[in-house]
Amino acid sequence: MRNKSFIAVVLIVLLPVAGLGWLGVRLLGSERQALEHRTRTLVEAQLLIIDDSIKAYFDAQRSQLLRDIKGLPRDTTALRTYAQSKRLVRQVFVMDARGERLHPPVNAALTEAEQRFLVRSADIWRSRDILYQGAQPPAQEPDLRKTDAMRSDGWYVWHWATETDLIFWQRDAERLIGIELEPARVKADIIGLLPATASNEEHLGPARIQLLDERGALAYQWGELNGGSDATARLLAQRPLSHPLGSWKLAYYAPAANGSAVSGKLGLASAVSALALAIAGLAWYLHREHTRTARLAMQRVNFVNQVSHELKIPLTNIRMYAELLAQQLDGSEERPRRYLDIIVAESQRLSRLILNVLNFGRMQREAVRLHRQAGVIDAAVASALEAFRPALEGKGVQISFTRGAPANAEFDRDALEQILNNLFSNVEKYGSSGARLDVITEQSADHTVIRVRDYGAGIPLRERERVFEAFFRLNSKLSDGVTGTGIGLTIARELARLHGGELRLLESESGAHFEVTLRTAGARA
Amino acid sequence: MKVLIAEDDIHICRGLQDLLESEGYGTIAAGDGEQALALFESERPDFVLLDIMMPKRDGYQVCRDIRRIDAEVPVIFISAKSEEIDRVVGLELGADDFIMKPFGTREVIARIRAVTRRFLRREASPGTVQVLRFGELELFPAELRARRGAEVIELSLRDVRILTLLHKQRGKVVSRDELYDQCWGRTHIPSSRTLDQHISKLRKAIEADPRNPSIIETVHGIGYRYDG
Repeated sequence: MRNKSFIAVVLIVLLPVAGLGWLGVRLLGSERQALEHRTRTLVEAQLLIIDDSIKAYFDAQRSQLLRDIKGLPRDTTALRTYAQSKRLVRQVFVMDARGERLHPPVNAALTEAEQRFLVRSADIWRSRDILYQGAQPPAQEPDLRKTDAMRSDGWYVWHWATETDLIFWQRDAERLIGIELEPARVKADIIGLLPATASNEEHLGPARIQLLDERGALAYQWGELNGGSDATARLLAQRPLSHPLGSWKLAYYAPAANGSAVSGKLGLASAVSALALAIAGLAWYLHREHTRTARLAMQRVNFVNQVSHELKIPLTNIRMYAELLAQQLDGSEERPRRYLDIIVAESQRLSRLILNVLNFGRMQREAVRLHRQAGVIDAAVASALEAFRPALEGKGVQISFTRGAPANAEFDRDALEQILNNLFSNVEKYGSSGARLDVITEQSADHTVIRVRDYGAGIPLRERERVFEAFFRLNSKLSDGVTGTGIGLTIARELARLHGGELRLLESESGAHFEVTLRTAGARA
Repeated sequence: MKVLIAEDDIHICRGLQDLLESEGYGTIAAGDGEQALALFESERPDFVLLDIMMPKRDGYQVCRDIRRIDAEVPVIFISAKSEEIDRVVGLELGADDFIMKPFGTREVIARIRAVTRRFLRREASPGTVQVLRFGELELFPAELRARRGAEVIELSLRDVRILTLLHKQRGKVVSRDELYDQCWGRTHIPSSRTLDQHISKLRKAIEADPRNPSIIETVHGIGYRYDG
């Protein structure tokens, strides 16, 4: 019983809660993934905005420099003056169509700055093609995707010492003019373009954005992680800058502790707990109802038991006095004797009924125990059969008993008697139309088989197992109007099983054919 | 043999008395546990039929007290309860047998005869089996049985007494009065019909031909005789 309750609690409470918890965790997981995806998209959009502003800056510079180059005088002095006058320009150079240097001048004295420039730009002077190659814009900018030969201007980026050097060049058929920008100024300008806070999206939490140069070194960072340490910060997204600073990257960091995930788990846990409480409450309520019903049922059973017990005393008196009275009769008083026999037989029937009810109650409480004693099965069968003989013969039933269990065996005489009483009583009630009852016993070293067969209406095929169910009664013309409690075969089978055996309904052409098997240790046929 | 019947239901008690007396036992009856114990002490019966549910003192308690006085006297419990606990407790208390209500007279007689046999065997000198012969019929008084060929005949204590008396005085007429005295007891006044009925039933049980009895012959106007 406890095991059954435990299984019921598991089924009613734990399984749904576990299922819901699992679903919740999965839902939370996929929600977190969706949130992460959304965050990433937002972050990437934000990085794109920053990159766009830097791109716009370079586009603006390009336009300005193109305008500058157009109006730029060709003489050395003017070029030097231009380079010095522009805060963003570090150096200007000019080469002819063959790539030969025109400025800084080849035949005049060079300033210190021009000399340093020539050292820095030695690669360009060795082969000006690298200008065009270096100016290769990223593939995703189709409007700039032109062949080297077609391009008339562009950016060239190279790295010198710790600096990122930028050259804007413009060429025509005769010459190529290049303007080297001041790296510190460019960097300052770019930093100036960056927003003051890392995130202007309210969906995004605290964040830190880093601008990393081509070496991966930190060029600048902004934004606060709000208590999260840098070591545990999570890299949410990174993006290379557009041309010409394509070797630089923007990196977006968020604090490691994901508050929303934690609160999500907490929310889920509290929801599941609330649900568990609700289900447990429901289970408790159902359990209480069930217990109440079971208690009521038990009270009824107890009442029936009590009444059955109370019936025993008047029944004892009825039977005993009828038998005592019968002893007083002499052979001539046939009619009174017959009457008394009926009183005795009916009181015996009532006794069997009470015994069935009490035993059924005991089976419900699992309180039936056997008392095996040495005895002879055939004698017990004969005695049970004898009790039914007057009633059966009164209904015209010929009784045949084939004895095959004469050995001394260990068995519970009361249990066997009750099994047989139920079977014989069924023959009397339902099988007497066959006018014949065969009882056959067989015995082996440790088992005894008793077959009880009548030739009455029998039991329909579909009801063969159901007749052993408690309170089941065949619904037919045969059983209509016949009294019965519907527990006889249930008890008989249960007793046979307790006795290490079985009660079966065998197949038969006509009538009902029952077979009782009992484990009867000590039987030696 | 004297039997103490302790049973609070007056009808069951009287019925058992009648039943036992018809078997040849003397009876004393008690309606509650205390009375049962008092009667046991004063009358010292040969065995006891004890109801479990009784007022004042229940059967278990009475059994315990009886066992303190006499460890040997056979005790048969009568009970309307047939729960496991009853048997176990009863057997622990030294009960010899159980009779469950509702019972039939045959069951009571069978159990009482079984207890009587054990009692008689204990009383008999050990190692000897007393056999009384009536022609083809052998009587085993301590067994309450007789045998004719392969047939075993169950007898009551009174049957055995009658046959033993006839056997002892074989060839002589045993008067009706003597039979009353010896087999029913002086205090008991059976009717003439009771004696005749009893003899008639006994003949049916033991005679080869009850119509022409060879063991219990009627001596008209006087009594009965066995001419062995």
